[in-house]
Amino acid sequence: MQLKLEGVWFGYRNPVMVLRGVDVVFRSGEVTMVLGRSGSGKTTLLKVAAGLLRPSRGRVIAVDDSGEPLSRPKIGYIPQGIGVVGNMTVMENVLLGALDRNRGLGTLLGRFPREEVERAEEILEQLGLGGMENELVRELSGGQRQRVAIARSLMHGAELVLADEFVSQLDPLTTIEVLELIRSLKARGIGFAITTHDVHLVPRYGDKVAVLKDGKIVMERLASMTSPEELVEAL
Amino acid sequence: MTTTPHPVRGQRPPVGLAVQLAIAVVTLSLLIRFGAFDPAVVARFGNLPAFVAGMLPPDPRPLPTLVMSMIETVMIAFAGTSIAVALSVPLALLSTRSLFGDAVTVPLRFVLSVIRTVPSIIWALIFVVTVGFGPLAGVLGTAMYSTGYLSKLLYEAFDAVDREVLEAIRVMRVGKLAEMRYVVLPEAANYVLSQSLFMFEYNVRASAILGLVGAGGIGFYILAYVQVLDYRSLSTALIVLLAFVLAVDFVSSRVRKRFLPD
Repeated sequence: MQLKLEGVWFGYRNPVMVLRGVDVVFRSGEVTMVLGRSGSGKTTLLKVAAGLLRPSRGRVIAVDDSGEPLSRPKIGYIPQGIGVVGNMTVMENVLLGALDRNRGLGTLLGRFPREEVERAEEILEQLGLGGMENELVRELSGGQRQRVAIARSLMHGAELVLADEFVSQLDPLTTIEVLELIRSLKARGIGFAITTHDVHLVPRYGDKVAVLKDGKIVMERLASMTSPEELVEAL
Repeated sequence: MTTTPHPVRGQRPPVGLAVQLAIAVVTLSLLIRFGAFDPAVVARFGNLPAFVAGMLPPDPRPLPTLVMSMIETVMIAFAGTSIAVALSVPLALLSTRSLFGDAVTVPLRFVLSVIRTVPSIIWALIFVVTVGFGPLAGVLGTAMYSTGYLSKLLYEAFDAVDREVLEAIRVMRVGKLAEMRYVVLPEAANYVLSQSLFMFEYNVRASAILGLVGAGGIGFYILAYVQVLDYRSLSTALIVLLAFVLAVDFVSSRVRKRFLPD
């Protein structure tokens, strides 16, 4: 799957534009690092890509591998504050990912099909959260919450996960753990678009980097072809 | 160490002496206008010791009746609050701006505002006319006012739920009902419980005067004792009221501590 932003302009209050003609493509099976300084429009870019904000101009389109448009692309979105429900358990949070295919009174009463629960248990096990199903999310560490958010996206069947400042608030060791996890998920065909301002993470964990400056993509290239120094200069 | 003689740039100055003085002058003029310093009125304050002396000692004879009527008052408050909670949660959800647009929230918020503008005793009076004297009028009156009041407290709490959590779920296109059930309600659950208990405590106190309009409870007796100048029975009624209100506050605070550790 590819999520394409074509000539996207967006402003919260016209005529001040936060995004000014952004062209970028996020692909499944690929980690795209969106690099930018604070206020460059990274969060807005992800919200537009996720469909939470409608572009003032331009378009966002999801297509499959043969280029056919997808009406309901499987996208996960992890906001800066992680976006997990603190007053619910790990299992309940993960099962939220199954809501779109299990609409009805049963799920509103908190009852999910057995196979969905088993799938959630499997995902939690894969992400190192096995045995924590009944823990309240508000009592978890930052790294564990990140995993719950990823697990929810996987439960949703996301082919592409848009993650805003995903590791900015984690300590260096947990950051590496989470990014290694993302690397392993990439190998399974899941794509990530991660906004960050940490230039050192890009060559190590990104496949592609897009530098956002003043609402425009000023550099887009393979992460392996860039150095932190070049990225700092581009910022 | 030196002190800064002038306000620091960007720091708001404290409320000026002139403003405080102006408030004091306005309050004083209102008291004069309402006759607080009229010698005839001042002289009447002399009745207070006689009134208090007339209340002592409390008369124990009406105690069983008063306890029963106070239990009825608590039941009115409980039933009224329960109905209000049941109505307020869906109404507050529909009034939440992060879930619905202005076309839904603005008219609904206006209706709720009108409902809570009318005090519970006036609602009770309306229901006395509608369903007749007795506790049912009290229950309905309490429920009406509380619905208006509690809905406002709840939709403000629902609006304060972290938008990011809502957005993370919204991207998965799960629908409004699921957003309410799985994000807004769990995130605001503690607040809903806390405000419902607060509303119950408030209603126990408010229901005590519903009897004044014939809507059941201890208020009926309080009014009767004042009218027949039976101040000793009145003091018994006030002691019963105080004891129940303190007991309800105590139980309520224990429940809050049990369920709301934060």
